[in-house]
Amino acid sequence: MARYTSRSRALARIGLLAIALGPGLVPHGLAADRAPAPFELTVDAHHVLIPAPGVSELDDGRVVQDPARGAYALRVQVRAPDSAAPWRLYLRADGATFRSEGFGKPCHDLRWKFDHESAGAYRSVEDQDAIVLERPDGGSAEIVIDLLVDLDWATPPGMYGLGLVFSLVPE
Amino acid sequence: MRQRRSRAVLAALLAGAACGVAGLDRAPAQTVSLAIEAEVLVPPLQRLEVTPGFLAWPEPTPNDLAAGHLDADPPIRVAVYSNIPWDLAVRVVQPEAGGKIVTGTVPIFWRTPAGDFAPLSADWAVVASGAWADGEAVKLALRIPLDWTQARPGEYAPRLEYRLAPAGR
Repeated sequence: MARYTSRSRALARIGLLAIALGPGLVPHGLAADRAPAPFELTVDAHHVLIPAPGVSELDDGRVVQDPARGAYALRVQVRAPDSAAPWRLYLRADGATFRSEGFGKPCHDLRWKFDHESAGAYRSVEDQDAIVLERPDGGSAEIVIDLLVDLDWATPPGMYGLGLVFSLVPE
Repeated sequence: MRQRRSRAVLAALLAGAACGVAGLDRAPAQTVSLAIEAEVLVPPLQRLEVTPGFLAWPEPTPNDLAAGHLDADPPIRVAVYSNIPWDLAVRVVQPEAGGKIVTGTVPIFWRTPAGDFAPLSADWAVVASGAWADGEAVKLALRIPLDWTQARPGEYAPRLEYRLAPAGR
């Protein structure tokens, strides 16, 4: 009887230890199977070279990623295949102005729209996060984006660069 | 008693495992960010438009000869477009006399910003400059000096040429 009691106490200690160290005792396979699938955010290009403007573009006040030929600037994919967790995709510029030599071209001169939208749908890029897409029901998504740069005859020659930061935020 | 204790131990083990799974489920999903670079190369660009493209001087009258000059009316208008500092220059090309319709050469003057008239020649003369321009209108007031002694009857066809170039070139 005494032997049984001692063994039971030992087993009970092991049980308490299991409670305390629960996560560590879970087999790795089980943890991987039940953990939420990680979100994945990908783009098809990390560098978008917008066509150099000509005289007519300066007259028009903008240069676009040639939508007339069905071209687009960027394809963004959100993969969350096994998750119904809601998420939002944000976009912001990495600075208030373009990187250029001596001309502080504001970041909102870069505008974007979904490829399927009309030309009047372009929105300015700001240096603070703005929602691009939200999925209350979760899941994967793919978006195709056109870019436009506002410029005119007052825009000095040079290379203008702006970083665009996409952030996928689970809600 | 032994059976009850064993069940308690088993329950504790299962509870520990359950806590582990629940703990993993509660781990907050992370924000995922990536950056791309958008670039556009703006080249130096210039354009000019001249109106009218063909200037027909009015036929001089005795009053013009008495006044001593004939003015182009309206003045020539040059619209300048440039995203770099620019100079607008003008010169006159005089066809050689003896051609089919050309009687000879005729001097042409332009009114400078100071208000006086300066002769145009075969050499480029800068008539306007600027830092940049979006259709900036440059009016060229042109004048041909005439009087009873110098004006020979005939036809004259001086050609004006315009050059928009980066400043200082």
